Amino acid sequence: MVKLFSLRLFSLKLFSLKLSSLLGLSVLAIAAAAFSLFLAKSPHTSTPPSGESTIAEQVAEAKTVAKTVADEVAVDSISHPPLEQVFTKGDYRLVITAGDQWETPVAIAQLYEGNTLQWEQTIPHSYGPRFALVSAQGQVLLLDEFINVASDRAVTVISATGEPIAQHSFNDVKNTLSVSAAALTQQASSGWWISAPPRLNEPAGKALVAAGGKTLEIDLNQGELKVAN
Amino acid sequence: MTYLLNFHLPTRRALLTSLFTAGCTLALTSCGDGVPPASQTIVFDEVENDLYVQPIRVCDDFGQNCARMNLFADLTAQILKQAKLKVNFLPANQLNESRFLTIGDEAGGTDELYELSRQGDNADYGRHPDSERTSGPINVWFVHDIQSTNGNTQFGSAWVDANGVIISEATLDFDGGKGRRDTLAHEIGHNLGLKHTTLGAGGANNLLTDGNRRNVPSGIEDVYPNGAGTSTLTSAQITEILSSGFVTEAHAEGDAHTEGMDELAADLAQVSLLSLQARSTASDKASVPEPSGLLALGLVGLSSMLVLKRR
Repeated sequence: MVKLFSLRLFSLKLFSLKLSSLLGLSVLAIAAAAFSLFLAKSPHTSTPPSGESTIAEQVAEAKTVAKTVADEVAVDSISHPPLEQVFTKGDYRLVITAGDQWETPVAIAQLYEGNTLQWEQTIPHSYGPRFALVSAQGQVLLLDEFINVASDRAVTVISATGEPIAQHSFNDVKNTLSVSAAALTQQASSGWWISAPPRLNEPAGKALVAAGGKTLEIDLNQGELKVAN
Repeated sequence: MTYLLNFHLPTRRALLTSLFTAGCTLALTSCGDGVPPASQTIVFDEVENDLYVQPIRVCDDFGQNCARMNLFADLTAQILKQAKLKVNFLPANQLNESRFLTIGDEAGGTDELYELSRQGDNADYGRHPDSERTSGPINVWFVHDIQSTNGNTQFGSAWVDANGVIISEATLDFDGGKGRRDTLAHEIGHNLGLKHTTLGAGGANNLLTDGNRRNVPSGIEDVYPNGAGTSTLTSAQITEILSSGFVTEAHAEGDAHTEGMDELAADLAQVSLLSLQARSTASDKASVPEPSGLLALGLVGLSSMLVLKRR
């Protein structure tokens, strides 16, 4: 019994010893961490005052600066379209303006007949359409967006009273023309798919757009797409 | 304590395991604010080379109002796969300095880019400690805005053939919020030595063509060789990329070297983060241990003591 008690006492002492060692180690670790934090808070540069640097160090620094100055910076940016664009046909005048000086991509479209405003609306095209035209009957065609993406608004037709007639995506155009997306983008000269500015076939009420080696025909009255013969 | 120690051995072992696991879990999750998610490696077949990217989220002096960040990781990796690169996105660091949230209109924000990428010691400004001017992980800072000259919107800025990229939130707002998904790959291309008009760049579908002419993919389905075939790299561009000091030869998955590199990368990312936090001001809450962190340390310590006692 006494022996067992002694053994237990010994175990307890051993445990206490280990515990105190562990605590001691923990204190040391915390102190080391605090010291490293203190060191890390030192100023950005470790360069000694100029009077203390050696000539070799100054030469090395000069070489580095010279190399840095020679480095080139390149950017990814887009130039905005004009703050106002005007498209005229007969008595109709379509005006597309920046919503807030292009601080955001919001564009506003207005259609005038003579000096009378027929309609005005914010259009969802980022920085406005890539191309726009107005017919002698006042229908408005907006093609693609100013940004180079596969847009859901590749073709938008709006009536003379501001009602939407049709909206077609890039996929609709691709399917109508039966041309692959790769062929359309590779042959495009402006934006994602358009090879040349649109033309009006006024008597027929159609617009024609060259794309992917073919011509897309857009019915300005119904908004339908088809391949021109 | 005595009660715990008198448990039957298997029960005690289970308890110890639970304590240790809980401690470790808490220790990991308690660093949630400011500590980035786990590193992400995009692996494709046939990759032969590694590229490490160190994202750095810029926040205000108090660690708030952080810049939004999206690596578009899948698409970026798909684009660079053309050069047989495996892109390794390291856990993001955080830089708490308000003055870098908006980059000035000096051409491309050159002054700020210079300070962020070149000044101070390694690991300053959130940089990866292994990053060098022409080797190591590429550092990418995400900021609110890059102010541009009138008539332009600027999405990114980068050194050509040297380390350092800045990306603005305009990349996220682009195309009605779908994002300008190729900007990071474009800017990394600059760091790897590519320019807007050389080595075959200039066409609408080339990754390095300038922003006015370049077609922007809406998803992987549009990236070469898929769909519209955007974001292409010419063979001359790929050759240039592979000669860059940032590109290192990849090793097979699971071999000792790769595992060692992964561990090293993770360790260094943590070192970078700790250093960054240590340099923060006293008002920076990110540098103050959270209560859950202390609890975690306590649990780990407790389980360690119990193990010692059991022996």
